[in-house]
Amino acid sequence: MNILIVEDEQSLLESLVAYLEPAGYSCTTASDFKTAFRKLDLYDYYCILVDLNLPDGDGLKLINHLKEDGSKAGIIIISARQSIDERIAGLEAGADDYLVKPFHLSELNARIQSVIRRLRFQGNKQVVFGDLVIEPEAHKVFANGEPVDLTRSEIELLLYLVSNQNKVVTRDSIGEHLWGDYLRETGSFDQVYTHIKNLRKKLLQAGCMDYIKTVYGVGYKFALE
Amino acid sequence: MKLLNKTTLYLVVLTVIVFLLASLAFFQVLRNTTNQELDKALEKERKQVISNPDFFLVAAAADVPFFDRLKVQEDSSGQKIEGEYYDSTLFDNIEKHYQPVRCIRFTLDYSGSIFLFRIFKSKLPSDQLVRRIVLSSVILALVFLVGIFLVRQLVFVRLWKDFFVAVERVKQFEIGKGSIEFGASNIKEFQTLNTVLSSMTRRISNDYLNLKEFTSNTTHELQTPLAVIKSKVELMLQSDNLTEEQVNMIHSIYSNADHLSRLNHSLGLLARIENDQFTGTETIDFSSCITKNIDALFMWASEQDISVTTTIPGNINIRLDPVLSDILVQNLLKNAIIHNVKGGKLYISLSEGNLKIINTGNEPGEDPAGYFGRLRKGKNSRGLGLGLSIVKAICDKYQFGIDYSYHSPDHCIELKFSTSGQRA
Repeated sequence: MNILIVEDEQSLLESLVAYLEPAGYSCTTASDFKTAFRKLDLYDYYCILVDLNLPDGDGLKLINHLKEDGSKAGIIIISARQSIDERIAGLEAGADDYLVKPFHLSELNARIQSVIRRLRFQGNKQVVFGDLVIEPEAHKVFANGEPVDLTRSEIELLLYLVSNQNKVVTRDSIGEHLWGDYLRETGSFDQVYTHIKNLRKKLLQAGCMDYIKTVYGVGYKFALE
Repeated sequence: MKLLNKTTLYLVVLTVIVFLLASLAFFQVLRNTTNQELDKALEKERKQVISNPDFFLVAAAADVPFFDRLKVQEDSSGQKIEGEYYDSTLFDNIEKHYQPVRCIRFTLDYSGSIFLFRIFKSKLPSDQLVRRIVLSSVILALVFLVGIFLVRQLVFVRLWKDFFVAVERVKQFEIGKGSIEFGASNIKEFQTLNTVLSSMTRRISNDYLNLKEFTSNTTHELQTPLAVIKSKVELMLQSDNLTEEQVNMIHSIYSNADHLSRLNHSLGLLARIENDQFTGTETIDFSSCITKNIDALFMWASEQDISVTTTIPGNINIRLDPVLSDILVQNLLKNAIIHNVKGGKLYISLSEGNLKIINTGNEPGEDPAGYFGRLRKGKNSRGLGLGLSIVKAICDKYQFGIDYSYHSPDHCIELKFSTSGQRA
């Protein structure tokens, strides 16, 4: 799956590529408006990540251009601006998601997959991993063909881990993904641990392999072996 | 007291005092002068009498009632009087009343006897004169007073007009709503005043706008480097060959970068609330806002064995920006849970215009009202220390009352709000 990353901050751009390429994306980059514009005209992408504050133009105009062309690419805005107005403006311009910097790379990854799923497969795509089949829109999970009874929250957690398979996912990012930013301070990492524990138990009970590996002091990794 | 009234008052008091003193002095001077004149005349007449005692003795015996009267009597007391002046009254047989007179008396040795002469001069004309003069002076004083009032209306009002206009304009100045033009004046001091006020309000407005812009830019600018740090750290954590020690250090960098970023985010929010960047005031269903947010927190509450009880009737409204409504409630609830104890209690009660949140918790180390200050945290708080500051900023903006009290073992926050239009 090819994605275009439009970001003028070089270090951040490198980080994004370093994280996303091993995850299976083919990444094209652009550090300014002109380059991004050119690339958009030349190729089609599954998903485009756009930073709004480009040195030579407004990222929103890129989005407008894409929409005018009738592009079916998913658009995720990555921006340091967090005001509600900006968020609304971005989504109204046609973006599919809006992520405020700084964000967890794992969170970005999960959102990219979610957007692509929605757009390319009308949400009917099944997510397959090892013994597991997840139907995100239907909120159903099957292990070896048998349904697994998971709470919404647990399915969300599973989807998050699967989206970031073979990557170390921090407890912080799991907490933030499941419960949002403001609740971060309310809970401790105990909650994340509890959720993981419950998920693991249910999966094992359903006859699934234990894909959840604990990375001590940091978080978890969802991997085949 | 108003400027013109005070000025007038001073002038009036001054006028009255001056006229009073002047009148008294004038009166005194007049009296002395007239007496002196009379005395001089009396002395002349005394000399006349002494030089021609026969004639005057006869005249005195006749006691003819004309202008100056002369009375003589034999005086056997043996005293010798050269000439003594004094005031007295004399009965006028024709006018039938007492007249004020100035007298001189003296003794004269004549043909073997001592005679006491008294010459009387009428003071009536001079008294009348004095009275008239004093009356004129009083009338003059009154005229003066009337004049002062006229001056106040016609002159002072005009004189100070530019000043009063400037005062009205200054009252209209609201920071952040532009500078005010203060106009010109042909009175030097008022011109100076206007010029200074103009430049001052302009400077204040500019500084304020710059500060506003700076604050929002700063928080925004900080996010990008933080994003870079977090991304690099997250990449590092992907490595397989990290020692435990390295993992801990890297994670510590990560958490602190995260803390910085959340702090930055919250401070930015605070700045935006205080700078009036939330203008979408609506009537919000407060009941459902609170219920929705309590549900979201339920998991934490039960994880800490905190029992949550609520009294939330429906259809209670509040007027504020919908985004701020959620932020307000979330921060209040978050605070009540973070500072709670395991197995503690949380009670939320909503009524018309009033929201009470009571939670068990440890004894506060300081006066709970201080918690609304920035970056104040309880001893074991995992929070940023900004939650209650954000609550207070929202309350200040909409003029809600907020009160934090501690009655062992309960912490109680009470929010008083209005459902009608508040100045936002």
